[in-house]
Amino acid sequence: MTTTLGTNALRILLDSDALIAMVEESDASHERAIEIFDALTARNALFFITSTTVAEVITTLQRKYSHRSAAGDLYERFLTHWVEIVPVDRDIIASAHVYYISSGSKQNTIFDAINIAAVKAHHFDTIFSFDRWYSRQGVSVV
Amino acid sequence: MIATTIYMPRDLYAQVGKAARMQRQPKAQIIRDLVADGLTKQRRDPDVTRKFVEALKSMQFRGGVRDAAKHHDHYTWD
Repeated sequence: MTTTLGTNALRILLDSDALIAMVEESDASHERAIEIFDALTARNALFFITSTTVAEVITTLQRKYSHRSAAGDLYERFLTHWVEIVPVDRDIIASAHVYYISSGSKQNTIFDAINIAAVKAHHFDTIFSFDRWYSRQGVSVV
Repeated sequence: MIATTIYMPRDLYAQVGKAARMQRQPKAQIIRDLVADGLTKQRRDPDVTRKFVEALKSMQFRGGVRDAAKHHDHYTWD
């Protein structure tokens, strides 16, 4: 598969639910998340995450689970360059608007709309998420 | 896409033009591809993906919520 970066590696945008499922052992999707992350590792995929998803995941871990240390640990992992952080600029925000408006659901937020805009702007191969809304928006989902 | 202006040595520009003719691509496309390839090679640590996944695995915690991923918005904001 050829990407805009000219490599054969899969370029995957990570969604917050995939990351939360991965680190939360109790989650119903936890085992599936591990399987998928392992499969993507075997394919030497490149991981990307929007700056807004970073904030979303850290906030979720901190607020809901009171896992400030876990949130801090994950925060540090994002700073290692093992995952590429995608800036969310005015163009991305503007592109996200149409998806946000079309959502019409309380479930799908501006964070999700921004992810779609990022996938399209950076030509990511797919998004790793358990949220089916992305596929309904024409985005390939792992 | 963002329009930008760059300066490059004349001989390098000539090489870009030659590559564009050979590949029958616009010079802009040749430059984009080469910059993207260069940045990827510069950034790419072959172990980067494995390191990230191993790090995630090492941080397992148990909040006792089975729908945390699916309803994380609710758990975060409500």
